[in-house]
Amino acid sequence: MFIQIDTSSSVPIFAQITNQIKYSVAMGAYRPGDKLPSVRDLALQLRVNPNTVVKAYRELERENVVYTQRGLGIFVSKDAVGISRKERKRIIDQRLGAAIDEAVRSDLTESEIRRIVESKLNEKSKERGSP
Amino acid sequence: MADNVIETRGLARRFGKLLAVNNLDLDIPRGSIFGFMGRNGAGKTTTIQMLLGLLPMNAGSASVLGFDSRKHSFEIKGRVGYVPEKHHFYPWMTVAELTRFTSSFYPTWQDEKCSELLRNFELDPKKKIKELSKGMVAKLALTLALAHDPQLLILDEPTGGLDVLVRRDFLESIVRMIQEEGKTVFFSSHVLVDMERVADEIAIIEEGRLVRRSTLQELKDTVKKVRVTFREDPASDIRIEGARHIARDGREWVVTYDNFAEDRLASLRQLPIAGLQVIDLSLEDIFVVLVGKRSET
Repeated sequence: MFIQIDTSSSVPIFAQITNQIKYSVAMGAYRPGDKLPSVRDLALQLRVNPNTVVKAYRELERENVVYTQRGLGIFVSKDAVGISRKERKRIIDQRLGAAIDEAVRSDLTESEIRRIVESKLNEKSKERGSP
Repeated sequence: MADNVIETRGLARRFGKLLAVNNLDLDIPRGSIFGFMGRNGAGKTTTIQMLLGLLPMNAGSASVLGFDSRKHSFEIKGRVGYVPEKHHFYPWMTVAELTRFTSSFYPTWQDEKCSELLRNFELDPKKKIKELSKGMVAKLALTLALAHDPQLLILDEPTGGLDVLVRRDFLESIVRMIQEEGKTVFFSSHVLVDMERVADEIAIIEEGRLVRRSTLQELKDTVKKVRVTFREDPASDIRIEGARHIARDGREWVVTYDNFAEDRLASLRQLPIAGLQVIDLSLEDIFVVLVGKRSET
């Protein structure tokens, strides 16, 4: 499990943990049935308060991304991929929304914003070498 | 001639078996705020003491404001504002007595400037040194270093042990000083937020060697991590070009670069991957990458 904590970010640490676990699940690095690190191990690795990790895991459990098996550990749930992908989409939706809001506030016209988005998408597809 | 206020070539100092400073080449341009970054014991204080001629060097050369550190310690000390890591003021003196005492060493001492600094820092001339708080003592040390109007200010861990508000005051004074033309500030620190706020350029040393010298932006652009997710369990012998370190956890690898550029991503895309995520690092994380043991990054 790889998680990068940014203490200067306004995103709470437990949310940084849940977001990145969902990313790993959405991308298929962790698959249904895979075991997550224990609270103790993850807290040590990230050098954060174990209660923060507990909070993150509880949140993931509430969203059905993970489930706890008493005495065995915490595992990725069957529905986790769909939920995590949806969640990724939601995060990206939010970020693009914020960028568009800012563009509108900066008095860019709709066609200007469209052009920016188009050219970014073109750049990306060129980078990937796919049409 | 390049306009450097500090130049060292092959500078070295040994304490017994320990090479505290090892073949250090450093040029500090005039007019910059230059951060000298390193862990405890990396060789920062030793370097500074050699620059000022307070400590003999074992090899190499150093010059400050054009004076040879080996031969002209007296000239250098008279022209540089120096704030050492530890202050050795007589505790029984008052602030006024100490400033008068210190002024006698500097032909360029300016009484008005000194009083102005004391006023700005809210330092009471009648107070005894032993009655001052840590923050007050630090401000007094800075006052004494600035009152003779030096071209170059050398600060060794200036904000060590100071609280956030006092640190801000302190940094503000440094920034104000640099705004006067041609002045240079060279300061060592392991407090990275201070560097982030004020330094134009930084040099990182570790075990007496220069590890990296660049602007903060260059550091942030070139030291990065990339999270690589493979579609299936990857072969463990996959080579990743330019990686400083790779952390492998099943299908998820995190590749650390100290020489990142966009074309690194293009070569990662040749691998059978599900996705890539570039992770920007804080200065603290960058520092860990550059000076940490390779296995820890």
